[in-house]
Amino acid sequence: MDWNAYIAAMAALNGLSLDGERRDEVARQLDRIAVMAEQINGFPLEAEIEPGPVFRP
Amino acid sequence: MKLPESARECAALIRRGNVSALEIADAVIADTAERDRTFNSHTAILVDRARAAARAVDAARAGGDKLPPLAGVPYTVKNLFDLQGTTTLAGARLRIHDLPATRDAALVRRLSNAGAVVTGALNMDAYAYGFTTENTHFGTTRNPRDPMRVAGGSSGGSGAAVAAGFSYFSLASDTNGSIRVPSSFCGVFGLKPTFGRLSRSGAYPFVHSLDHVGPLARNTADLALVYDLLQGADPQDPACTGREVQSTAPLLEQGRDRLRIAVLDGHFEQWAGPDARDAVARAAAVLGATDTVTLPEAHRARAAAFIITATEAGALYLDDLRQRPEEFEPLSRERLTAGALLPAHWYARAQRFRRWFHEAALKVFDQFDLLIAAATPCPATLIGAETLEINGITLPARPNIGLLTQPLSLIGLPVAVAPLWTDQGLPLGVQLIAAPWREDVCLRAAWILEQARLAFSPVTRPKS
Repeated sequence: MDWNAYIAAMAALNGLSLDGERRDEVARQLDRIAVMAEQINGFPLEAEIEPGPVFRP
Repeated sequence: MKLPESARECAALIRRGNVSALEIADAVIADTAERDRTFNSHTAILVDRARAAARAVDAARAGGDKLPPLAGVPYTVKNLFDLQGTTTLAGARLRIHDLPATRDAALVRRLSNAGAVVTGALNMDAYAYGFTTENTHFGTTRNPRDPMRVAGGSSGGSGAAVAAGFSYFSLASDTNGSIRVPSSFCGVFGLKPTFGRLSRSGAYPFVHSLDHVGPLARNTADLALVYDLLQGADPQDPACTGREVQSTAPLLEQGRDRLRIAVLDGHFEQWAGPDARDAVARAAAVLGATDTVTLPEAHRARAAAFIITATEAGALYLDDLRQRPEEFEPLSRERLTAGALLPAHWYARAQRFRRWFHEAALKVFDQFDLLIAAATPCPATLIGAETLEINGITLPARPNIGLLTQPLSLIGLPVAVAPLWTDQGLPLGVQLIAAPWREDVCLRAAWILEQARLAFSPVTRPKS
């Protein structure tokens, strides 16, 4: 995944200015987290399964 | 002077008048000032506070008051706990100019009520985001068992201070393994209680969904005593349970009685190197555990914890990332930044997976009372190590030290770590994992391993 466009857009949206070195490292970190996300996104979860935290008013 | 071996013995000697609390405090302060230059476990030695607290204990004794259970016993705290009059660093250069805390954290107040004496604030991975306590600004904390190795993290200062004998016990935190990893690497006993068991009020947060607080010590009885004194509801902490105190110290000697025990396989075996597997096998033999069992999808649980951590920590630090990026820990800044940029549905789904995994784990606890796994894939890594090798696979070291701890803290199971020792003389801890709210079972198992002299935590003293 080429993260450059994503990072540029998300950084702008969040008011972060990232130089080339920081952008490259953020891209490396996103690569790692994306691998984790695949493990979660690829696992079927029925709609009825609540989030772990449950709010109690 | 030679300090008493255990917190209980220290308290008893002071109670009987064999030694004053001030003598003990002064001895600890002097020892720390001299020997901690090697280990860098402390960011502050609290001389005035410790001496004032010690004097108060001595005055109470002289006045004929009944002394509380830990009167005069010196202890240390990871520097994310509020200590009145000092700045709460949370390992962060970012925070050094913050205003000092106006009161002690809830757990510190409880220990003060029990008479214990804070002697130091301890180094940690910045923000609690790390497993090694290689802190660029405050320095690396060296492992007292081998100063060329890390003390683990993020509560490395706690692991080192207890292993080196600077304090009888230490207060620390664990989000993905930060009590359990230093306990394993430094060879001390540690307890990550059930999520929400202990008050987090006055402890600087890292990941609100996953932060736990708990103690480390050099023996099970001290650990249980301290843990029992820390328990209790706290209306100031919405995440803290209202359950009544469930004392564990009187239950230790129940030992193995009727416990159904199994070793965790799958993910927990796959990512355990040879020393870790050996430690688990030895612990299982002593505990009489012949079964193995699987926590399903544990690798996904680790992934969920990773995503929840990245998102919540990134969000927490986003303002500072915008305004003061140059003040950040270089090892963590881009991790936090990336976390703040993730697609939201990754986090939402991870929180729902968490409930799935929680239900799957509870089914396992229908069959067994205690589960065993290694705390770390290997013994303490060398300072500066960028990679580690597990069963022929090379991985980046720093994020992967917590492979075996993360799935369990995702669902807040109580875990005690008991330190076993490899043939090379390095410690490696085993996790003793129970169902929610059953810290008594974890601690009984630790006690069994200690009684069998398989798990132990000597003070590392300098060679003369």
